[in-house]
Amino acid sequence: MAAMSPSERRLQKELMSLMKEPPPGVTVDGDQASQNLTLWTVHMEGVPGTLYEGEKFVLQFKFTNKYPFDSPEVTFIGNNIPIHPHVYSNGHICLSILTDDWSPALSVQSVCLSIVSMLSSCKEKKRPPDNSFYVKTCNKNPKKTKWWYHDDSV
Amino acid sequence: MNILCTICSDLINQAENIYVTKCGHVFHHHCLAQWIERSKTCPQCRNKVTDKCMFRLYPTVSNENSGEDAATLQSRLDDAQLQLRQQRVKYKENQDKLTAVNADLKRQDDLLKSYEKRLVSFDSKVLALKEQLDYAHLQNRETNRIKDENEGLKKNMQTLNGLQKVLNATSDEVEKMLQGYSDVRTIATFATALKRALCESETKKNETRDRLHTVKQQLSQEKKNSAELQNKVLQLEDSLHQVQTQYELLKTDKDMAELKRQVAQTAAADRLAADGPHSPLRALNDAILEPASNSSFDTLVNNIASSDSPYLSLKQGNVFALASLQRAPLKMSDKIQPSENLYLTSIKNATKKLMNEKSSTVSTKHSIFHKKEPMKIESLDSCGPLDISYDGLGGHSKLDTFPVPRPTIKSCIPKISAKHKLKRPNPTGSQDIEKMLKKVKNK
Repeated sequence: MAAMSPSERRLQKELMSLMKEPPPGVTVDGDQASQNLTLWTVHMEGVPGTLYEGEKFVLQFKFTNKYPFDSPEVTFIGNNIPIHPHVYSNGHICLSILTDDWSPALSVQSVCLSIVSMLSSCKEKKRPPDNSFYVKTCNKNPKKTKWWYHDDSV
Repeated sequence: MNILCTICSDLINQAENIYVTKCGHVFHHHCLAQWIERSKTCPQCRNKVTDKCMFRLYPTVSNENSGEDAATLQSRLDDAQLQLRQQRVKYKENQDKLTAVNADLKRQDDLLKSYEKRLVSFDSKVLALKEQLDYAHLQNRETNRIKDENEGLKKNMQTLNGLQKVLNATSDEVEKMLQGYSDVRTIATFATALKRALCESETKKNETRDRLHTVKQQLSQEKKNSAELQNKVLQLEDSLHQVQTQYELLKTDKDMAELKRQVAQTAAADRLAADGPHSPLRALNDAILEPASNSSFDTLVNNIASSDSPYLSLKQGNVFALASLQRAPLKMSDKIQPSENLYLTSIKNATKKLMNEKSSTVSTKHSIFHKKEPMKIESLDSCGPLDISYDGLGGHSKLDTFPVPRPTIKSCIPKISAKHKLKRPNPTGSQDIEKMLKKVKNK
């Protein structure tokens, strides 16, 4: 166990805690994550009383070996991508803590909570205004996008 | 008291380097330093943090119930569980690896077995092939031997062919052929073969010569016989002549007797005429007397003329045959008796045979190496012209020799030529006899 790197240790601890005490509406695919600690799949349910009530989304977390100093790469995957002004149709999420405002004190759990809160605070289901252009031109990795966080309200 | 480093989410041990930011947040030194390199903010409150505005913390922790509180235990439990989980994962991996290795081992085992089997089969195959190879070698050797034999036989055959050619061909062809051959041995073989052939032909020649001699002797013997027979004919002719003269005498005697009787009869008739009719008795007497005497003579002559006695007919036939042997063989055969005919034909055949043999041996015998002239043998036929000049009437000036095959060997039989002269008057003699017989018959 001595060979375990600090990032692995932290991911292992995070996985354990997330499985033990997950936030409401959030479940992690523990078997897949424990097989490959750098690729997590998190299932998320629309919070009751919001626009996304009853909907199910799938989030994918990709970690580098520099985690937690590097932010994880988080995207929606699967058939159901939430229609939200900060979520592009290819699953990319426009969220400051995933890039510029990342801090090593943040965790998978905190990111999940942020996304749930982002979805829950949505008042109108619509795609970002530059969705089609972005989807055509963007890099596969959302972290390579120079995000312009124009709306802090949601 | 359990302080947690939010960067690595590990408990902060008092023995470690503990740093605290200006804003009062506590981290491991290495965690904070790593983050400060990227962003000069506090991970927890995003306040500005620099290397100078963070300080090392030296807490003094009491030893009372150290590590015994629930949080510590919980943390340890978490650690243990984490380790257990990892061990399990490792164990599972190893298990999988083991099964994989086992399966692989089994596969390799099977493979090994199959290879062993194949090895065995290959071994047997190799053995079989080796045997086949040996057999093939053997066969090859046999074939080579047969080939050599064949070559030898071919050579022999060629030599034999050459030999045959040499034996059959003319001298010029043989010369040419021998020029063509450079092999001394072959030429030597040819020479020996030719020599052998020469010896054989020599012996054959000798044999034939001997046979010729014997035949000649036989011929002379036959000639002697014929001479004897002619002598006999002469004697018989003489005796016939005597008989005829006797007959003439007897005839004259008879005539004389008849005349006497007639005289007597006339006298008697005169007497009878005087005496009376006793004429019937006299006529009867005449009738008895006349036919008796006449028929006795006639039959005697006829008997002599048409007698089957070998002597008489032989003489006739012989004379005729000798005279007209070549000219009229058919006539001759008509005239002569079967026995005589056979005799003559046998002589003729013997002579011809001899001649043929001679000529045949000459043709095969006289090879190209001696260019001897073949022995000349005059056949019976070659004597034809001599006989043709003889007209069969007897008076011809030409010497009528009996057809003798070889004038060249006259010296061997001088007696025969002498006897020929004796033979000569015979035909005329026989003719005379015939004429005389005819006369007698006519009478």
